[in-house]
Amino acid sequence: MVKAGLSQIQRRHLVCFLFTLPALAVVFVFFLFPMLRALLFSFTNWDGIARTYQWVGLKNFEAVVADSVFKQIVFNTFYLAIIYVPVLNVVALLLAVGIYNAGKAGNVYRAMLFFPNLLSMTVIGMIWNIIYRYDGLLNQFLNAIGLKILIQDWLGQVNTVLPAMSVTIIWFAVGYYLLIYLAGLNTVPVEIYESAEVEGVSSWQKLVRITIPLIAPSITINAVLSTIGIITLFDLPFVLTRGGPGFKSQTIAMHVYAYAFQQLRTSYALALAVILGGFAILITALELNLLRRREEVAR
Amino acid sequence: MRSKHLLGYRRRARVGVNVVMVLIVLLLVMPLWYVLNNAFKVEREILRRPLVLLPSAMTLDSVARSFVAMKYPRCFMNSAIVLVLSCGFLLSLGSLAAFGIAMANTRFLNTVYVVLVAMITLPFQLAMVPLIFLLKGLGLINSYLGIALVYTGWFMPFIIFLYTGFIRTVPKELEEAGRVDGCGLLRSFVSIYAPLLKPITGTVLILRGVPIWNDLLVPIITISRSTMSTLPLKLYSFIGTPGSTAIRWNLVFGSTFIVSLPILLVFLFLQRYFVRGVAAGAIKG
Amino acid sequence: MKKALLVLAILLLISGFAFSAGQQGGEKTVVLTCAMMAGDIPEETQAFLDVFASENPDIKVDFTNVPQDLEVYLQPKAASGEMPDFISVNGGSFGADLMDRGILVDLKDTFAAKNTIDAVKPQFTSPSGKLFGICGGVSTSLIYYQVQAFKDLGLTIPENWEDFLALCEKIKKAGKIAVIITPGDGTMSNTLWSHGFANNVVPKYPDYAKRFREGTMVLDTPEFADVYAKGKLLFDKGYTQPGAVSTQYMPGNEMYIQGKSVQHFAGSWLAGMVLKTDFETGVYMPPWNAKGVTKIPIVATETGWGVSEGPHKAQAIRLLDWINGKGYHYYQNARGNIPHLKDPMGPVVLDDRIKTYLEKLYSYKQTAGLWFEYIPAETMTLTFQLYQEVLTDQKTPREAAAAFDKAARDAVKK
Repeated sequence: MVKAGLSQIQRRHLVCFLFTLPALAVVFVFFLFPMLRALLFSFTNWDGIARTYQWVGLKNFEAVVADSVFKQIVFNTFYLAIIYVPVLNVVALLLAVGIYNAGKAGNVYRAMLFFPNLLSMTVIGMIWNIIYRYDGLLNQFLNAIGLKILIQDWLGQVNTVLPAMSVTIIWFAVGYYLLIYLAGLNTVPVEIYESAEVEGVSSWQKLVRITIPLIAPSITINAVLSTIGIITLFDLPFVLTRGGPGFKSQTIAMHVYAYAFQQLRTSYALALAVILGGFAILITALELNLLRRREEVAR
Repeated sequence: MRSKHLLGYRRRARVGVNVVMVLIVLLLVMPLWYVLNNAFKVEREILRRPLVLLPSAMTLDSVARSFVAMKYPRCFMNSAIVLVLSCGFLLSLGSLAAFGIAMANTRFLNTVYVVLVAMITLPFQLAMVPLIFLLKGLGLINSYLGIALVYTGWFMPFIIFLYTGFIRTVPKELEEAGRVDGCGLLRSFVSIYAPLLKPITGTVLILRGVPIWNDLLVPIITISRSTMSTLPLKLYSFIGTPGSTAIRWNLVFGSTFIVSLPILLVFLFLQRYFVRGVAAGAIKG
Repeated sequence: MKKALLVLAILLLISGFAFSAGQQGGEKTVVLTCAMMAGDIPEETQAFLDVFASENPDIKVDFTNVPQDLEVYLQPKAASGEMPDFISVNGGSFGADLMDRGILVDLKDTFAAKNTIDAVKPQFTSPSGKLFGICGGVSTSLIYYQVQAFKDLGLTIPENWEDFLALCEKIKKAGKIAVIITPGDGTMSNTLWSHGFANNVVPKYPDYAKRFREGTMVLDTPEFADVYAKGKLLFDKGYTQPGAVSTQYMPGNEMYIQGKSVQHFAGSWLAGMVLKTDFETGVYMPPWNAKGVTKIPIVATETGWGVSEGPHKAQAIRLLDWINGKGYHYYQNARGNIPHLKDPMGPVVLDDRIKTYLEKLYSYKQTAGLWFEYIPAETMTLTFQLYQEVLTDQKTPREAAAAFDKAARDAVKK
């Protein structure tokens, strides 16, 4: 029964490895390999079209960091992450709690809140552009309810463009994240809430003292996913503001595209993409570390 | 053992919650109503009275003209084929690989697993430019297979992550029992584990199926023939970016409507699975 | 349920392969991939391409509409060698670049080239002297205005910048919007930027195109800063529409057509659309000149067409010759733009107001081109992005000028 040369266990391991091969092959060829090449090319001066290139070491990275927009795009990316991630998660959690407590109608709410997530980015950009225009829906609405003083050029002002964009992104994503919170909520035994009510615990305390600690894993996942999501997001901001006014809503991911296809500086694009990748890994690791620890505490 | 007082409180709270939720949901869904509304309005009326649709102003013309101008059936089929191919690859290869990783539990494969999970955080932009060249070299530009392989490579780490986690929760006894009965690893995968993977497969289909259906970035770099265009790509070339649209608002809204409709319908019918899917993904995380 | 899905999936796969196999299709018919910027006339473009296909049964035309960012659409395709056979192309450095890399075909000896007036060829000629594109029409930007409003307010056509400001002030005092500008996207470069550049910078540097190519253009100057400053002035004084910073091309046009503004600073290619307003609209030359100085108006080209090197270039050239010959009137009538052909070979639809304007325009000895015809490709999005920064006080006009100067030099240094 034992083949010459390989023990049964080793054979098993070999077979398992073979199982993984097709998938790994595809990942390597169509994802990892291009990325490694990108990493490699970020150290050269390849311009995206020519056949020849030379090694230039860290010059691309230096140029990218020295670019006057660099500080702006890094700031924008982080600013967006810092507004978006907490607000999204708070809103999603509250909505999940709302659905949880709404009884039968909850399923309808849940479905309708998920609709935005099913739309293509072109559509979302188009809709929200119409909403935010100076003569658009939002200002018309404000006019109608007598809040004329709040009418402004939402996407054309430096202090409102990023928050406005965040609202759009939250509108799109909230349906998805609240499903995850709902799942988490459903793992909490109802008895805990019931006994809390009997003891006269207020809704607010229920939320903070009971719910949040018990769904800590859901919070972790959502925080990490939403952070990665916003850092790498490209299509929606591009379609909504094209990075304007000026570069006020230009994120790192958008600028990779700008370098590659507008400024035709492929090597800069690759260098910036590498920097973006670095940020992504770093932030994810930090967040995971922080949140996993709190999960332990909560337990 | 609930007091009447508690029940009454519950009922009041429930009503309150529902009122708030209805308001919020209406607000959120309002932009969609706006699109729906305008897709059926006569061209003249389109930018007036945003939220109201009078029977006298209704027409099917916008939708019909958009349908023809976009060459909708062709694009729909392209999107469908890409989706089926991509999901087919992801599910089959991914579950198989996850099975291998979970069953073997060797240091090598576990390291591979960790690397894969780390890759989930990497942005697509990084691979974008070299990918174009790669596809060109392999002759996979403008081909269904090419696009499917890009999506497969891109999303595979996430798929393997989900599947591996799930398989690891299945008790080892199952496989051992199978082995006693003479099942090789492959047979045990196909006969024993695959059926168990149904719930997580549903999750996967939805979590990745929707982004693949709506994706714009990959088609933009891989498709140059309009006959191969997917729905999002067609919509983009039709509408462009908001400021460059022609004053053909009827075509804009009409096309937006017919592009968004299929997936909204699918969602309405398969809601249960969607929710279960996301939930399963979440808990396992 | 699962079985049904499986069957469906297999059916889709089979039909998919069948279809894509079918695409490679008959060796007799050539499938011409056509990527054209036709955002305002998508249906008409499809229609006239169908006419071409019916007259040429051995060619099938595969038309893709390209949204405004033409260069952004083409660049990855140029990089991977997957250029469409027939493309829209702008006069300027991007096309010239592609020409000299051998990606486009030299069109010098085509019928289309011979039928095109010489004045619009330089912008489509690469530094090595090859003609990489045929322009789609003569273009200029001008100010459309409500004739009745001018009469009511007792306004006369301004002939210089100060008079223009005074005119806007009168309109503002009457409670109306004086002029629409569109800094929300690159289209403001056709108007504010190009006219500013033409009147402020060109007199001192008439060889500007050459200087940009060589990286010796001097832009960190008060004159160039004033290009941005003029626009900022209009904005700060409230002569422009509210929410101007994010107003884009089409929304701006709509605003004028709905009668919300007395004037609209836009391109001649919109004449077909803008002159069809319910109220009477007139046109006049933008007075970006100082008092006593002659205006320098814009005479430039519209987005035109080019042919990629490849197996289908002969057929693509046939399409080119048709669009610039027998088939021209389909295109021209749809757009209502100014012909560039010596012999349009068909009925030309051109508004009388534009005809009159053209007579005046052609009488000017010194003219300038439009921005995209001479600035480096790398700086094309910078024109309006800097503008947005100036409008929102993130940069002063002089800082914007310095930034543009640096970018223009860096582009060539590359």
